[in-house]
Amino acid sequence: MYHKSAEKSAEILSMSKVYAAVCEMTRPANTTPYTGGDIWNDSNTVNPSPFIFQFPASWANANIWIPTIVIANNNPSAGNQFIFYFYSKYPDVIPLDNTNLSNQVSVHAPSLDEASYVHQLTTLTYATLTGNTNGRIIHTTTGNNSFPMHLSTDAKLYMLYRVQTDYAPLSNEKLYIRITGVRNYSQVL
Amino acid sequence: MSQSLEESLETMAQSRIATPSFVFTRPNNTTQYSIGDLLSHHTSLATVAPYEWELPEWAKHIGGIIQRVYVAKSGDTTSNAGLSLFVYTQPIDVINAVDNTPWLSQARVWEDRTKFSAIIAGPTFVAGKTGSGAGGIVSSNQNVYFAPTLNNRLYVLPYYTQAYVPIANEEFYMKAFIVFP
Repeated sequence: MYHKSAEKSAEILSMSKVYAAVCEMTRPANTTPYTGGDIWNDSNTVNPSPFIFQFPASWANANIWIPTIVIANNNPSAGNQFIFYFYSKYPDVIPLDNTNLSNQVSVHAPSLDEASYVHQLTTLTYATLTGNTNGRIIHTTTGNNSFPMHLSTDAKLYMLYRVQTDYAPLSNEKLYIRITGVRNYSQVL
Repeated sequence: MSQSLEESLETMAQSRIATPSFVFTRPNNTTQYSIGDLLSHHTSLATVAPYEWELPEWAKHIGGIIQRVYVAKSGDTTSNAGLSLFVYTQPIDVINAVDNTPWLSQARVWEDRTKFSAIIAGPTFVAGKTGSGAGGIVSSNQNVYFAPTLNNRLYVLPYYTQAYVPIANEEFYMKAFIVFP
């Protein structure tokens, strides 16, 4: 019995509990200003995408917490604040179609997708950021606000990105978002 | 077999803390730093390389927590001695800054986005709490998570958050207490 427990413990200890999932997205080729409340995504015509963060397959259905997020933007003048809405499945109660195109007021209220909605997170503002004329970057330590998030059956976390304050984007502006997730194995020890 | 397993288990459990450090000596001048200026022993463009916190070999490709940072320096000046640290999980090329030139505004954050890990809010030296005689020492709690490293190293570039007047050839020692969950 002890040996079996030790083997299991060794296996668990050998697993990496920290994983960084990355999603990079390019917005449409226009410079239409965003107004607070607009959604930010990759299309102003059809079929915009949510941000999708892929974690290791073995993390399917796992609860994770995300103590750190890195956000980089290639727009050096971006001074906006924004909110992340996280989902444990593809957010499709309201289809991501022409009602949720880039620059449109986000009508995808989390409550309408409550079965999969897991958390919203207000980020730092770019005004506090740094970098040269090629971009800005945020390192957010979410601390106690990083409530456990449930991953999908294929180990993904979905996110919609809502602009909170007005700002002028670049054409084809890019966002790079890296979520450092931590999985707690202690429940199976 | 069971003995080996138990030994391995014990070793793995004990190996979950690392305390890497590095030392360097800044240039032989007393030129005041401005807020955001790089602190380095390099003074020629294209020669600056980040300092390295070398982790155990088993820590390659593993993420962890910078739990605490500890800085000691040979000079006893505490006024405006505040530092912060850029931390990367991969090496970067520093092509546009040297010691005592702007770094905070020159970091190529978009180009290096996949390597960037964190900006660690720096320890601040406080008069009367830094030891006796020459030298200063300070530590600060961090609790900063970093993504899995490319190799078993973290790469560090310190910069000043205050307008600091250094002493010539001032020596620095920077140490991290890192936990791997």
